[in-house]
Amino acid sequence: MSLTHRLPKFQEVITVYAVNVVILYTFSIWFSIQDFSKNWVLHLDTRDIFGLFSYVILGAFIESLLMTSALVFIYFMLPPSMSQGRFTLYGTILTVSFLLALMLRNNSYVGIGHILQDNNSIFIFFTVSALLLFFLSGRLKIVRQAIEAFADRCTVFLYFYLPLSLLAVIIVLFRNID
Amino acid sequence: MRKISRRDFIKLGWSALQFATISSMVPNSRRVTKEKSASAPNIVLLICDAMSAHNLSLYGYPRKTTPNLNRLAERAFVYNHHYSNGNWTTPGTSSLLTGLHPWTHRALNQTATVKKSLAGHNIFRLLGDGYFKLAYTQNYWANYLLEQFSPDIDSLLPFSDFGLTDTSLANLKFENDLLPSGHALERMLYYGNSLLLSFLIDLYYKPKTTAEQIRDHPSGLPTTGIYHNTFTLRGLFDGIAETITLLEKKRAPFFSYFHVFPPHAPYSPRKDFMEMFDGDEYKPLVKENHPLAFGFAQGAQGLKADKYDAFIANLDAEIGRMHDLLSSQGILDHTYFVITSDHGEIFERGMSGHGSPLLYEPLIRVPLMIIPPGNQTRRDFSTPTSHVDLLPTLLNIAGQPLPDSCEGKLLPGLGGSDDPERSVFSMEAIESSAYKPFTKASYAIRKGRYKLIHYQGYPHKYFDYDEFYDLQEDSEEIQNKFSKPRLSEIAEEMKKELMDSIQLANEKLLN
Repeated sequence: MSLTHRLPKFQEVITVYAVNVVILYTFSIWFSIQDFSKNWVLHLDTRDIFGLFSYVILGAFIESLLMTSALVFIYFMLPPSMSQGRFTLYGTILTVSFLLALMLRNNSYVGIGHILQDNNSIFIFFTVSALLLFFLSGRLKIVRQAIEAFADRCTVFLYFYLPLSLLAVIIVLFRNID
Repeated sequence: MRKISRRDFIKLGWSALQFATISSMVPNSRRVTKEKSASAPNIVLLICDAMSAHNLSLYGYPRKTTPNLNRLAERAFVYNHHYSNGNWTTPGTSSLLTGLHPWTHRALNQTATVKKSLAGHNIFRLLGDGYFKLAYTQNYWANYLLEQFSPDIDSLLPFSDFGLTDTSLANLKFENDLLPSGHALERMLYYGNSLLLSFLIDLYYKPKTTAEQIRDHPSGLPTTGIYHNTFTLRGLFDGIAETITLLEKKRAPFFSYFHVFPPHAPYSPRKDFMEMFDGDEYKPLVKENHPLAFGFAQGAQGLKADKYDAFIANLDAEIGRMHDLLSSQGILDHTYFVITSDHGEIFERGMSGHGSPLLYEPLIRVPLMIIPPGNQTRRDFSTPTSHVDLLPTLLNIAGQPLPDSCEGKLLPGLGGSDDPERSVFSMEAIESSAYKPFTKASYAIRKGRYKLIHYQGYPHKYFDYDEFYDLQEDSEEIQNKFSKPRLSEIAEEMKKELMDSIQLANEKLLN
């Protein structure tokens, strides 16, 4: 079996990438807006605010690529008998579990931040929630369908977030050219 | 052959990424070679963050927090009523570095920098090309200002220098777009505005501590609270002393700005200082909570004050040690050594820390001690002085012309004279726009023995409210005498002077 056969299908990768994009971009943009509106808009001009959001989107873009690449790598390393044709399902479960764990450790929410205090608790939460979803999706068809439907709906947001990312990359490039 | 560890692998990966993406944006070293002028003295400016004059035995505090500063004061110029122009880092530091009041430089908000058209009005540029200029800060907000002034700084040291954490990654910048990229990416990487990148950064940054360092700091090692930047006071001041020693060997006279984080919270004194004031006889005056304070209970304030004082004592020991080291090397024979703070700290009226609309003495009155080379006697100055005075005074010391735009005066003893009728100002306007007239702010004016505080735009009576104190009779600022018939004329006069200054600044802004 050739190595390329161990890779997920392009459509599956796009679907899982979309799940990552929706969660990561929404999180970064939401918390950056909250941050900016508190004080930064008081002293940055419009040009700088555009620039600033371009860096935020660039950061989220890098995050989404890193996450998706890691998932593709894991899929590539797993025996095909375990994972063949299930990249969307497994990728979505891992993404949601992992990013949910990171949300619970994040310090952005004043008052309720740092629910997960250390790397061990993040790892435990991630493992338990991922195993639970794997188990439920294997046993209950409705859970599997719900996860796949969620991932599928996320692809719609790519039409918005990807052009935005392209624009952000162009703005960052222009701002950094001498 | 040594095996490559996971940490090495991550470092290697990051290095490759740095090289591929950012190295092209980092300009060559700004270090330049300059000729040494025979007459110009060196200047070392040491800013100790959040060090209130109120808590220093140098200024009469009952606890012996600063035996070393007291000792150094024996051959220094000591300014007994020196005021920061703000009650937190950004406005205070900006005024110190630009010689302009906050209503002029407009660095009022969190992460703010000075008005773009005034970016060149900074001590580093005004000192001219004859000086080698070095700057270092551990303070996140002050670092934004130094980045703004970086074209005028010969060597801007990374904030992670002299620390225990390798934070070199954080020193990679988009050099052509420092401020927006810094604002966005730093908030994403270190303040949790992103999920994955902030997690990876957390994995990457781990301080390299020894068991002894941890044992020596039972309440935790000192940290700046960002970039996992952990340090020891000993290491910090060893690093600064070493830097000054290296600067001394340069051909040009040097101006060095060191803005250290202690005694800013978290208060983490070494164990031999930690409990030195716990349960002692000192009992601060209990004051009524201020409605605009953050709302700390009296007990919590007291406990924090004990640790703060202990941290000051620890800092004082290190300043004394560094001073003696530099002195023994003869460096201070031709160096002005200046010690001050960017703002104060308060543990009363329901406040613990700094910021807020409050402008009481512990928040804005800061130490200022200048040790001129060769000076052998102590000189005390009681006339009110201000951070805006430092820039013209340092320029005068350096033999540079004073620009007309300076809003400060020469300090008495260093070119200026005692002026008991001189007014000094402080303010905070963190929630006002930098581009518009102030809508929500508090202001303080000190003139002679009197002080007036004016609140504007805050809830309830603080929408437009005044407090007036006679500091000679009431140094604790308890009896508001704004409406007292005997003093109302003076109060109104001071208020008019304050409001006229603000109105003039607002008009300049709109024009």
